[in-house]
Amino acid sequence: MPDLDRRVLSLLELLHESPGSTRAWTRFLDALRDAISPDAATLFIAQANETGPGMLAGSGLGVRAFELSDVLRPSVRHPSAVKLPSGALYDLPPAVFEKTGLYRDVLAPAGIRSGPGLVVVNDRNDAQVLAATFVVPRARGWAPTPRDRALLQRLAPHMAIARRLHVRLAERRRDTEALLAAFDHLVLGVVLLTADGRVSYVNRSAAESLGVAPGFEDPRTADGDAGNERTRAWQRLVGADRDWSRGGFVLQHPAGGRSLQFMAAPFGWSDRGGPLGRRFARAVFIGDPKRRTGDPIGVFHEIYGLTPGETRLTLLLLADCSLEEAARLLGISRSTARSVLKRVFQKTDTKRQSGLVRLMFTGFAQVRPDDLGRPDPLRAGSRL
Amino acid sequence: MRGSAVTRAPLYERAAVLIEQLFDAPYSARSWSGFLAALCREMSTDAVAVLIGQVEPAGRTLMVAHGIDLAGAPTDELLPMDEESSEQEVPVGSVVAIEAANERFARTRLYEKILATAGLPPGPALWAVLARDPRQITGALLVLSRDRSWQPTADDRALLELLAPYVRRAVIVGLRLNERRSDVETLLGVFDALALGVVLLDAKSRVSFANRSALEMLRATPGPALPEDGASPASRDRRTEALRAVLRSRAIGPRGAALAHPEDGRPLQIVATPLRWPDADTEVAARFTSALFLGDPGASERGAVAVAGLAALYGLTPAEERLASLLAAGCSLAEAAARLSIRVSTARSVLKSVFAKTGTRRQASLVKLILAAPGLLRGSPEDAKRPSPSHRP
Repeated sequence: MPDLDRRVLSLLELLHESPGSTRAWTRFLDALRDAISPDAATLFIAQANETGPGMLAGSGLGVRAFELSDVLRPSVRHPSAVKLPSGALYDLPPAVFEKTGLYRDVLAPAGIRSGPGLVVVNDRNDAQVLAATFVVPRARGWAPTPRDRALLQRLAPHMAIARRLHVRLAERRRDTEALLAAFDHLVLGVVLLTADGRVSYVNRSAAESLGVAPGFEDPRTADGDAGNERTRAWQRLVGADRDWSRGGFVLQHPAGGRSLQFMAAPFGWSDRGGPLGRRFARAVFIGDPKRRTGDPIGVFHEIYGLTPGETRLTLLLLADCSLEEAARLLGISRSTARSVLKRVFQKTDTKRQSGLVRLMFTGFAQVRPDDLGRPDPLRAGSRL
Repeated sequence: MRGSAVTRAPLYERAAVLIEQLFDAPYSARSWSGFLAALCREMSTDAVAVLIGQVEPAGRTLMVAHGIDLAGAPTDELLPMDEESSEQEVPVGSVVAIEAANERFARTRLYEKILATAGLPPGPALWAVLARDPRQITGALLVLSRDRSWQPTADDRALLELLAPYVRRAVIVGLRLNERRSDVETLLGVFDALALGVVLLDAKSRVSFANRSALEMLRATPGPALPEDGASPASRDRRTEALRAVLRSRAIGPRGAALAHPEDGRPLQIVATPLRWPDADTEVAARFTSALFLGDPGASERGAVAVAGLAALYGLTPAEERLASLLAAGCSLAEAAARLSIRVSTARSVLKSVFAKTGTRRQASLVKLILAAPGLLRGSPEDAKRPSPSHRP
């Protein structure tokens, strides 16, 4: 069947075109539907693990996220209960399928029929099927032919492989995103540079120092201007060809004259060379001793049990006031200020003002407090 | 044994089987040699296949082979593969048949430096062009044979023509995957530079990464990052156990928690936060779901290390650096003077020049300058040249 073989090969080209991209997978599903029949619909359902949300992609359905368990309930014989290896092809039992929430809530309203159809297992773990492709009728009277079966049989192992690569790539992208998101929580500015000195990432603190939007942009695939703007701002501030061999330097910020501390991280990964790590070839940390740091107000009260009065004095001391200045600003006498401070020392188990500063700036004040526990919808950043 | 065509499967089917092998694990060298071996079996019993070149501009130069040993072979002088081929003549994806004793092929550096020394004849060969610039071929898959009677058939050529675009695609996918793994390792390495403790947890609140500072604070030993395929770790993870011992089922409030290390009572500060990137793909599992930041106000040597970095920034003398270091580590001026065996009045005048150089006026400001700055980076450059213990080899 050279015709079948040719068809398989052209579908493989689409399948392997862009692993890691959901859109490419949808293009493959459309082509698969075209290869089978305009009266059929192709669906892909996947869940990365037992707990995570799932996703549904299909011809005419687009891509949507859902909770897999919800969608398939009250299915008694969920395909995942069937002990089928990855790459297996089996007939969809319509009587079971039409009882599922997936069919009732999503597929039936879209005009898709419950069978007869075929299912290809694309991925599974020990417990359940994690990804499967369905071919089901869109028009009454369509039923899979032996030729359709043969086509899917031939494609099945390739689909399993493509799915595995897709998951691998997507997981690593997600890992990278999570790590970059962690830098956003530091008070310390973090700038990541490519091997040719372009800015690939600035965290929020560094973005404030540079006067740009925080975020990531792969300089090789950048079509927006964000990365270029960050690179320009960076070069305005530190110069285009700064010698980092000495480790660091102190610069006056041109606006406002704040003195910023720059230090290149002494890492050993550059010896890997080549394109590995090209997006992140050097990290530069920016310290701004005058930056508003973590929110010690809540910390002082909740964790060290300071009263509002004790907190106010402590904050002034942390903001570089002397005890005299702090007393004047609070409108209290020096001796009162001194006795308040004594109680603060007691509660925080410190003995000196510098100890108090140390207590805060080794931990709590290093973490930006402004969005702990909730996502930041305004955060600008491009996909990795 | 090149049999007659009678028992051979159809070309497309053979191609599909090879493609399956090609994409099985395109990030691993072993998978590539497996593919090349299978390709060679399709062509000749003594076939040799070499995949070489840069598939992306300025990308890494790949070199894998079946049938010859590439250990010790030069890599960089081999490019370009063919310096005088026009684009019209051999576009990307095309397959060129090289006849026996081809002089132009014999002059290529690839042949001179590697194939000739391995005792291979300068043709016949098949050459699938995977990458090129306008003037020259920069990436190719080459098949030739030690068997001097071997002649590539039209079928062999057709098979290679079918495979060429897939080979190119698989190379790119493999590079992409390796690059992403390297990105993750690189970023974890950045955390290792911080004096602040950083612990990353997976969706099941198991420790998937702890930087060097956090390991010290938790008194835990380094462990591998969690398996990338999402499988459960083989055994109990000491880092997770150490963290749970410190937390002792205490919930961490929205502002964090201050608690004492159960073993030595050292105070630790912990702030927890989920890790979310806007519009992140919802479909895949994450190894890094939330972060704990750990501060250890009692770690005195770390203060000392931190100042060593800042001394260069502000031009502190060794004496000034030592004093600033002790103050940042929590000593009073008198304690610092005693530790340095100098008089308090001497210490005071050293401190004055530290104030002048750093633009500060009080000890508390100086400590803040040191701790709120990149001085919080840990470790000396020598120290950091060691591979980080938290990295996989």
